[in-house]
Amino acid sequence: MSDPFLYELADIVRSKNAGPFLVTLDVFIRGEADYAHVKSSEVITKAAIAAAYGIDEDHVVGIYFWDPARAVKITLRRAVSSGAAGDDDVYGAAMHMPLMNLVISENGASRRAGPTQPGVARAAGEAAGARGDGPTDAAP
Amino acid sequence: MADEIRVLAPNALLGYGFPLESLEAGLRERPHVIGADGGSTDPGPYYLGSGTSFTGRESVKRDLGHLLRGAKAVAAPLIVGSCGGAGGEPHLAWVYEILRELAAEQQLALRVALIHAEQDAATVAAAHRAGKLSPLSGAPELDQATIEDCSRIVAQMGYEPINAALSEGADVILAGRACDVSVYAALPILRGADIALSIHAAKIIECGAYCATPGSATDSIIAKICDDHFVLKATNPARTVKAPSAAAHSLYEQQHPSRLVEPVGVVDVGAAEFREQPDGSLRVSGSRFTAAANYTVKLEGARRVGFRAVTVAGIRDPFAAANLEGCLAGARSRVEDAFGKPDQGAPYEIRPHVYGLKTNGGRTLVDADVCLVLDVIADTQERAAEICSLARSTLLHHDYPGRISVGGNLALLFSPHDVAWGPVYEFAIYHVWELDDPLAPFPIEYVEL
Repeated sequence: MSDPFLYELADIVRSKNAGPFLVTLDVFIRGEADYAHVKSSEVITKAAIAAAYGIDEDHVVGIYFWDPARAVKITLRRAVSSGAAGDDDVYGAAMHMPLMNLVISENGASRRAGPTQPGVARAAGEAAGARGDGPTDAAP
Repeated sequence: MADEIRVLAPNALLGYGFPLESLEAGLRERPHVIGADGGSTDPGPYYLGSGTSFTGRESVKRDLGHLLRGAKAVAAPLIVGSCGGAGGEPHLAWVYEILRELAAEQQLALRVALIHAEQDAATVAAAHRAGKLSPLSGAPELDQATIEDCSRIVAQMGYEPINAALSEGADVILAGRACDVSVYAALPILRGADIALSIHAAKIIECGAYCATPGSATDSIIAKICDDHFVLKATNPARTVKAPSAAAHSLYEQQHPSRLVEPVGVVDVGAAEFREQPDGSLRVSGSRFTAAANYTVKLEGARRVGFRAVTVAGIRDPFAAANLEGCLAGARSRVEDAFGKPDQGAPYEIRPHVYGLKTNGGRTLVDADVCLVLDVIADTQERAAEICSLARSTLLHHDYPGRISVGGNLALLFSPHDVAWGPVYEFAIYHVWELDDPLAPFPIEYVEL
């Protein structure tokens, strides 16, 4: 059996604003054994999250494990604050895809191919130094 | 305090609606207070900046009407927090006007407290100069010009101003911007309930039955706060409150999973115990409170950055989709010819939001069904409309190599094509403000209706 995606181990993977400048991602792992594995193998690290989202590590504000709910909480800085020019997810409710698609292997998380998340990653135009210019990374 | 203090939360947000049976079942529990959350920053800065509500007037009036009747029936005070969504002066006035209509229609005599939360730029600037403001995580640093640029600034009150109004015998409290928790924790704390339990319970019920199983933002929940624990019960018998869902809600929309940060201090719920009861309710104990060294409230300020015009179109021709980038570059170039560069003179921004464009090894899939939302922001509404119109018409007819569909590149969704979306705001202030007096920024006005 191939290594599972994180969402295959979870009842809930969600994202939501934690105020206008942060987005917080919650994962609730279904089984004790899977939770213990995800927690102890340290597959969810600042480096892995930063890579999955295409952001700097210092924009990963925190990673927290909360045993009573078998939960992992990851809080990220938004590249664009909620509802400001250039934001495309006002509630931050659809920013969980790179996280849900993390592959949980025996030795660590690796990412399968997929788009970065425009809502938290620097917009393509900004990275290129042009103010709001250029099509997003979704363009061919 | 009484054996237990019962707090009824009819739903997640005033105007979202709730089943009347759930309200009636909640009233049969004889709540000591009914709380309703009226707002959030979640819908973004527009509503704070523009002074408008993100909920509809009829929806708010319907919910408020039922709650008013219910609160009168059980002689419990009704508290509405973050009135009108963003909790500024126009938002508070909007809900007050609805309340006055309802009081007249229901022929009710009410003692109403209006707690104001909008802040003068001068007051905020003085606090900034005095070093009393600090940015919340992720928020930008502040300067004097930014404060003056804000269209509106509000502060999020703690439970103290609400308790002041309760102590003055208010039947209905309409609060401007308030912490969600304040609405539900105020009365229990006033009556002597444990502060950690009151805040933890309030945090879980602030979205109504969202914490229940199955969860719902449009149904009711009651919290019963006792000496050393609290009990959560969904008033709709179709729902129970389970440990995982309630625990999950403890950390909803919070930066940290087990620390609930409120103006007065921090409640640590890391060691809390959740025990499911045979009747479908949930018993929670073990949350702990640590007082903050300095009392702080959050400040939220929205600044207008321009005006937006939008056009929406489908792109179905796979060759047009594959050449979208080039067409957009052509449209930008045409706009620059007519209006100058985006960052020179009067600034403007053109942002294509492209949905559904999938690539396969660099080649667009043949079943292209792409949505383009062209988002133009400029310094006036007229200029945004002009630029949007020119960019859209250029995109429609722009040539690209290998073009076979020369009739047009866009399936324009509507006639008229472009929409004047109105002013665009951003949160420019999201800071904590250190206060000597939790009541000072929140003047209370009493009215007899």
